[in-house]
Amino acid sequence: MIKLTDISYSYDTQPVLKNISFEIKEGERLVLLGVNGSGKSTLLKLINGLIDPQKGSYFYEGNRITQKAFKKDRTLHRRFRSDVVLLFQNPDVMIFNPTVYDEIAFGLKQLGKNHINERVGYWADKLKITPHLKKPPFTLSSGEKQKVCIAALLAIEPKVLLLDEPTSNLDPMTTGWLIDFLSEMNLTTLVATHNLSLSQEMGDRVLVLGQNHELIFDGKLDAFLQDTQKLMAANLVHSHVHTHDHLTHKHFHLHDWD
Amino acid sequence: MHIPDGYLSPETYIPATVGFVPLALYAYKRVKKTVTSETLPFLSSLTALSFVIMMFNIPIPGGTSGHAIGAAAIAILFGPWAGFLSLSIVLFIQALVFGDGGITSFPINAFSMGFVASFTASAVYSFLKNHFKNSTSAFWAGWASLVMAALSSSIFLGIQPLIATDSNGHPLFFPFNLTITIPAMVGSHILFFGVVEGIFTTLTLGFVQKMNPEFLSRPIQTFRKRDLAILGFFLSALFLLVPLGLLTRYPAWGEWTSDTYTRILGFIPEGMRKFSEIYTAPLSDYSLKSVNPVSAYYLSALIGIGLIFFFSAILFRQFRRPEKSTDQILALLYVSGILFLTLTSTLYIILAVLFFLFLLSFRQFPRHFKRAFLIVLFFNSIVTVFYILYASVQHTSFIHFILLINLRTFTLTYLTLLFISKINLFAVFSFSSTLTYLLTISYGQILSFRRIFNDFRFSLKSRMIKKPKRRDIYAFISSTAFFFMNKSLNNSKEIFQAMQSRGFLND
Repeated sequence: MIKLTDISYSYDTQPVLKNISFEIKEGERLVLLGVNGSGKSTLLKLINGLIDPQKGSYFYEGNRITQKAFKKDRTLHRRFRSDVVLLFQNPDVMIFNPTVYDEIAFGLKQLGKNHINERVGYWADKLKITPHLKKPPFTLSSGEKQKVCIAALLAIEPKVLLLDEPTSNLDPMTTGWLIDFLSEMNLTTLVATHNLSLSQEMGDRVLVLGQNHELIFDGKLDAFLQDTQKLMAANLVHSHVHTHDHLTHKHFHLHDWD
Repeated sequence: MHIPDGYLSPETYIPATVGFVPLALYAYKRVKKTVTSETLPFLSSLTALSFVIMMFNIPIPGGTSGHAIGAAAIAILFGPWAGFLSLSIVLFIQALVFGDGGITSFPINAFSMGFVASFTASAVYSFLKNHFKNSTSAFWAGWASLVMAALSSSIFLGIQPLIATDSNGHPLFFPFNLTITIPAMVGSHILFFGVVEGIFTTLTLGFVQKMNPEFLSRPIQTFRKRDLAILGFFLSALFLLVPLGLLTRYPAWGEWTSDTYTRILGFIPEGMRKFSEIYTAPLSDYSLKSVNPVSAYYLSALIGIGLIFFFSAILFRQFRRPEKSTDQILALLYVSGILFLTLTSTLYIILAVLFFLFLLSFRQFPRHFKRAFLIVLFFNSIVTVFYILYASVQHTSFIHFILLINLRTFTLTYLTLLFISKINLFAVFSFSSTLTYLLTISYGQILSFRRIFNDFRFSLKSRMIKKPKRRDIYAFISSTAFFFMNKSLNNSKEIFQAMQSRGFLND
């Protein structure tokens, strides 16, 4: 469904992604792991067709995706936008409508979907934001904003859901709820995170971006967790001093700080 | 046919106003059901066309003039309720801004030229179209609509002497009775203006049929952009011809100056004299002092068309988002209220509006009252004191002026407070999506920037014990400024990407 071959991308002279290749099949639930600045957000934007790779090519269902291709083939653009959606890391940037209702209806109107009222009502109800429908979205709390954004994306009824640090704004309870909610959706998902324990909940296959901006691992999560060498290379574990009974020592930890 | 202020007795216009409100609301509801977002620009253009066509005053033998009204075309294309609503908008703007037709007589004018004309037109058209060609039916529908409107108008005028007379038996308001008004007004419309309206209706429908043949058989459906462009061209061509309306200096029948009345009757009816000055429009009779009449007429047409597009954009455009109608209706009322309050200088009317606002605010009355009072206190006390000083030097009376200005500012402030408390401001601008996005994004950004800025300040404060030195403050300012510039650049890029990602196709 999604195929990346040998993709590189850099901001000015600073490389962000180097020679990335992988494929995603329909229905897969993937986790994209990597520390801050390893290029996760850039990769997601690339898969969402917002930026073009400087090297390599990206295919969605056999169509090569570039800004030029979108300009040439409007139907492809329309289909791609309603199939692949991206939840940005900062929900503030996704909000630009006067009311929550408009926010959810925005994509539907842009993509020319029908039954807008019913869809908005359904998804607002499902994400429990119906009481906010008439409010301006930027007055909501960040957790509620996140929900509005998720409702806005799911209302489009996409095939592929890309999530960029979806839980960074959420408290533990809402995080748990979101994980359950997304796993019920049965969509092809790709979640970017640096949170190892979250990745165990959000997918079965894992892609790991190392600090050198290359893809250093692609496979089952369990296998990755066994591989201390790779874990260290990706800087995803930490070591700290602590006490077992009377013995003080230092070793690597998989658990998260929060 | 635009009955001015002072021609109708309160016994006529008060019940008419009471009846007009529910009728207009019902019409609004009906139109909302049938008109789609695609046809709305077309309806607005036809409404503007109706305004322009009313500026073409046609002189006829006998010293009077008249004009077509364009109601029939709207009624046939969009249904009688749409015709009524459109004409009401046009007449309201004419009364408020151009002094064509009175404020008090507005409901009667809207009834005659809007309701009667529209319903006559659509009834005649639907009856005739099965037996005759479209153009024939359109002509007679237009003709009949204007004749019936004139009849309705003349009846309202003609019954005035029966309703109100003074102790001498002189009529208080419009002086001529039915035996004079009906032949004078209806006759001229049968012979002249009805024909003009018929021709106008035929032309408009023929034009529509040529552009979009299915429109007439299956009304209310999608209109292409090209068609609208052609209509716009038609409108501008007509607009260029507007000064032709100035060819006549004859007034319409009955709409004379007080001198003419004195000459004909030997006296001016009491009520007419008193009430004709109740409201003075800013662009009275489509003319401006010190501007030559042709330019003023052009300017008036331009302002009128602009206002009509503004009003109908708000009124009609939001059909596609029914859940926001209240916000925009309130905004419309607010703008009209502000216009009205700034233009009127009758103390009692302002008082009545204020009292009405008090009733409207209901439980929030004390809160709004207190706030409005505090807001105007400073400004008003200064103005008041200075005016009293000025007036006592000049030995002029000042009570009326002081009362008026204080009351007006207070009412305006109160209205604004009430308005802000009732609505979501951002929803008001939803007739232009670009404007809405711009406003919402900027406001959202400002909110988040303010939060961040406060955090910056607190972080500085939490690390400082003494008062910060000047150098520290400069460093702080420059680093924050840099941060915000960087952040807004990044954010705007991200926001654009987020919009794109969600299907903002930019085409």
